[in-house]
Amino acid sequence: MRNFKLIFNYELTNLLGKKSTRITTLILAIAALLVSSLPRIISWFDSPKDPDTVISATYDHGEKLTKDMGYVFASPELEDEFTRALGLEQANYYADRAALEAALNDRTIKVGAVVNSDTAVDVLFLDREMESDQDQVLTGILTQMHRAKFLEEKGITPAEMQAVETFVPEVNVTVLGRNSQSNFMLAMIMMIIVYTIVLAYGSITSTVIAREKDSKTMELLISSARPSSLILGKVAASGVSGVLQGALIFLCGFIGFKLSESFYPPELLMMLGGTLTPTYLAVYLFFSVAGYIMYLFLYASLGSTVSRVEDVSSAIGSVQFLFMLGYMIAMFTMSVPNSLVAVIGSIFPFTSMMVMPLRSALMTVPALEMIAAVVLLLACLVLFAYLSIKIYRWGTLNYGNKKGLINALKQITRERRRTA
Amino acid sequence: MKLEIRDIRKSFGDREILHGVSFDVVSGRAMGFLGRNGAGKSTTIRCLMDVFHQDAGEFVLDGKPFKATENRVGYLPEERGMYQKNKILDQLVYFAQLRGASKAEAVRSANEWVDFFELGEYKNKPLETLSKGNQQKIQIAQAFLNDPDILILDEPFSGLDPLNSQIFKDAIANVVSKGRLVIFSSHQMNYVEEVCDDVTLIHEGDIILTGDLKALKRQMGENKLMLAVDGMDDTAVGQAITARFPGITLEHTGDTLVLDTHQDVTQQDILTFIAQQGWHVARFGMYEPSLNDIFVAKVRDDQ
Repeated sequence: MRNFKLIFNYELTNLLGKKSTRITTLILAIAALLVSSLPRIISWFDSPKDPDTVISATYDHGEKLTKDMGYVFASPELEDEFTRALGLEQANYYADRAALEAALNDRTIKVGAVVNSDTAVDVLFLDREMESDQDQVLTGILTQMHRAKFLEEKGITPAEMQAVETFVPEVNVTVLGRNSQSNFMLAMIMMIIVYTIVLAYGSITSTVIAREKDSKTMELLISSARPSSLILGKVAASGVSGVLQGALIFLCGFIGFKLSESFYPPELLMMLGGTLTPTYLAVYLFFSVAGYIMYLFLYASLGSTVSRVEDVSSAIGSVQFLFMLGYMIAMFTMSVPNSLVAVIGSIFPFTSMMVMPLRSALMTVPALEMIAAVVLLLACLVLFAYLSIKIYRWGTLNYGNKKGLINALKQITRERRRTA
Repeated sequence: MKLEIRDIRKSFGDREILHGVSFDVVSGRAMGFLGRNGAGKSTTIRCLMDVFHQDAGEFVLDGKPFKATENRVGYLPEERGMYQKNKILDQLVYFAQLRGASKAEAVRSANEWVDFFELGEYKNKPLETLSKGNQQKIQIAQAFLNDPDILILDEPFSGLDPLNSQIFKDAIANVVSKGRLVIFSSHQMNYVEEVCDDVTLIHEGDIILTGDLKALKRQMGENKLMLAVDGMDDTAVGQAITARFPGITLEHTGDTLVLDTHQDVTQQDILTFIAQQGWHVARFGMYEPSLNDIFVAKVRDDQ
């Protein structure tokens, strides 16, 4: 493994030094910070409601109930009450329903309301547009007015009413296994982080190798260092770069969360806090890291089969599909973590990196399944590391038409037989 | 040091490209490896550098199997390429370190060779910002990094203007004078003739000639005289000579006639005949073939 460290350092410096990497990381880190700080940011614009405002004299509706709207009231008392409560001084009043309809027909107004009582209103539209929801606004306000009147009559203050409405009984839940309801949120967030990093850095790894062939640097490299050192150094650099980027984004999200924790709804806090047990973290870290590295080797192999950077996207298409299949199985696992598909998906090495941590978060995975998944993933990781070195070596001077992975393996086998 | 290339065979698919290539290279003497396009020069060099695995044969350095990555080898591949977007000095240091130099040694060597090729002002710029000719010089510079014991250059002169070719020739002469082992392939005979002490000719995957260039010239010029006469057509001169000396064969090389004599005809006999004819001699003497002549003659013989 002579030169591994040198190659690793050089490749890592190149990857981290790229302007595009730095800008993307910065944008994603800021986005993570902003999203996790959202509850606090929302609170800046959302002033706390005084319970007394529930029965305030006027109800906020913007200009919804005044602009281009006409009214007919069944009695002067109703007119006074509504004018005061809704601030209808600027609205158009009509003597009766016929006059209101005439105004609608000649397009003086767009919406009309016939207030029959404080609990019954007819709403008239000439043409109902997409945003015409005055009937719903009125329904909401009439409900609030009725509620306020009722409380006043019964001598109940709004604060007392709110206390009754927001009462939470003490119910203690003990889950002996895994709690899907509280665990799925964080498990999903962590899976999406891994998904994004594998897709991004897999593609980068393929491109780095294809670019070396494209720029004809490969011949120089292969004659200066062992292919194993080269491929392992490059994959390790991509891997570490991805982990560093992911960790930075996660850290920013965590800082944002910690700064705004007190603004988070209790239900959300419960969901976020449920999963971080040491066992889950161990399962998550093992499958994410081992799966990530296995995929990087696979992407490196595919990068070695093409000679031009522009061929990379078509070469990696099949693996992208395989990886997305894993993502879909993982999504399915969320609802049915013990289904046959989920069990197979959590053991199959190409999908286990996403499905197993999720299953582990949602239920207690049988030990045999866990062992099978670990062994298969490690075996595949070693196999793909070996194959990627062979394919990289084989691909050194196979310029010209791009070869598929299968063709590459066939040719390598044929050449080995011939030279044996 | 002595590098022995022994019976190298290499096929691609069903087609054998190298049919048992063998020749030796010794340190302190530059070896020119010559051949037409597609003759097998680059394939031989790539097998030597372990870019390709040969199907049969071996490379032996001082009696031991040779492996490029385990020796201090400077290599300029035929397919030129380095990292386009990386800074020149950074990647030269990287390549020097890959070949075993310490960081300090690599930095010193990279600076030295960038300055030697008069590109010091660009060393902290990405390679892609340089002109094609200057990129070529950087690629040549990387082969000289780290004071290699063995220097292998595949078509080093292609793309170089005459001035840069001279700088490069000086660099090779300097390396040879230090007793290093140098091989370079080319199909540009004039450059090889100026730089090399030994030559090896490869034709369609077979070595057709190898040895000391001066000795080869002497050997191929043995019993040959060159003659150019003022005011006379070569053909008329040739006809007169063959009429007088029937065993002589003639070759026309430019404006000079080459007379392939035999043991019954001496240089003095020819001179006497010329004097009798009253010809005004422009050139007369022992004929020494150019490398190009040797190459053409040998390839023709092989065909």
